[in-house]
Amino acid sequence: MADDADAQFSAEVRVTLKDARVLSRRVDDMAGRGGDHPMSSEELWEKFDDCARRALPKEDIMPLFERLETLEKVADIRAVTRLLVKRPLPGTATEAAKPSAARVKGNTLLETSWVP
Amino acid sequence: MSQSVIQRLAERIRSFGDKNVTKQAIELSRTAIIDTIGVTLAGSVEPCAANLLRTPGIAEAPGPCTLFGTNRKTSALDATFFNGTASHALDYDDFSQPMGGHQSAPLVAPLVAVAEERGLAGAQLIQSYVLGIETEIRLARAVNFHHYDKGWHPTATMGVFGAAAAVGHLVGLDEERLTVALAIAASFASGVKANFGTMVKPLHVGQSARNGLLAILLAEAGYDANPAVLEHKQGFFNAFNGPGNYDADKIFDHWADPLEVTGKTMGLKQFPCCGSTHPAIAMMLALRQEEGIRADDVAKIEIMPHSRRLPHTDNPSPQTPLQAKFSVQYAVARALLEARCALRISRATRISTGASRRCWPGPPPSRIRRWPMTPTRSSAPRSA
Repeated sequence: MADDADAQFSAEVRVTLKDARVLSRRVDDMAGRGGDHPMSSEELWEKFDDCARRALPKEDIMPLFERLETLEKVADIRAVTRLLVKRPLPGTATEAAKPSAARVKGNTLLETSWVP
Repeated sequence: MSQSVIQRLAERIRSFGDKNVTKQAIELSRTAIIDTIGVTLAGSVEPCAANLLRTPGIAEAPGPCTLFGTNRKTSALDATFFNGTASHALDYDDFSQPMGGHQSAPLVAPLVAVAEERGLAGAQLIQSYVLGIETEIRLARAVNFHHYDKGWHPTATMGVFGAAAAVGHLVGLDEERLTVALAIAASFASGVKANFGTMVKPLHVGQSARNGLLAILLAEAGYDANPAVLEHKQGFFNAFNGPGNYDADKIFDHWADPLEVTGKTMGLKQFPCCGSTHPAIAMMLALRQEEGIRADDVAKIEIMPHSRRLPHTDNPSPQTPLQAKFSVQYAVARALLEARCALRISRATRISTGASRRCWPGPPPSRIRRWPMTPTRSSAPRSA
């Protein structure tokens, strides 16, 4: 079979239950999500949130995702990248020490004043 | 005199525009870009990315470009290096079968960095992304799978051309400068598969993204380069693939018609593990959701992936997080236990399996392997 042949991503999973019932599901070709198996907006959000939480505060993630959902309408990409900045937690020593604190505070205003 | 391959490519890049980009292409591209930014944030805390920030001279240059998930800014080159590396840190980014690699990771970091530096619009970024995908996958069709089988890492060796094409398009470089940039990119192409499974694999991606951007900046600054660098007897095709092992015409057959970005042979990764395990995970999730199966009801699980998907994912006893990513048994067990397969692991699963809180951990196999699990090579698809 050629390396780029179609239908290389099939799978069947068969489960035998303790009551002896056997259930199974099969897919003939599912090379990731896309094509005939597009990822839904909800699934994309679940993955994005799961990923972004490693780097950003929980409450900063939805505004970023919502802005990205209309990326083609963003007039200046800096409206997106300012949401990719990790804001120091309020009241922490690093917030006062960092020269970028004022700029980061500005981000908060821009972010929260935005209405989709 | 006839045009060189790179001149023909530069001509197509230069003339690429609104007329080429369909609504479907914009939607698919936006989804892929969102996904790539998500996995970059997740990867930004991984050692391969964090170690870059401990390396003298990296991300110290002044500049307006954000290192995703940090409060640091630097030059477009350094931001691209960091974000590009982070985007592939978890191998959770989208992939393309004809490319034999990951198509978005080399493009998103430099496009965002340059757009941030120059204040460009989202629509421009998306259009240049579509062009970058077209360039790197078209080029991959000309060299694969000989290129891949020899040991080159196409995400990097194709990605450097894709990044140069995308950024060159974004900044509106003329045909002559684009030709120079793509010819420089040929000399920057690098990345061998022997370093797969180490931090160097994502480093390849950061390097190729940065070098694609650097090729553009050098061309803008007045560099020259050989336009025949691909087909030259000591050029890219012959040095990387060898005589007779490539077909440059495949770059131009059906160029942008249909767009590669709308192709069905690429996909987003829904789960943070080897793509070969994904169909089986999806089937276990379907069983759990549609049949209401719960872990306590299960006596036995049989997993039957396509024969190509099994050899590198058949591992009933993963001992490390990396091994767990390549264990279909582990992945299917996670799906059954949690009704999802995410980076974060639920408290209940942590307690019942002794898994660590750290993302996609490899818990003690004796405890996750509560069921006899038999992976078997399945026959060809029924519909085929």
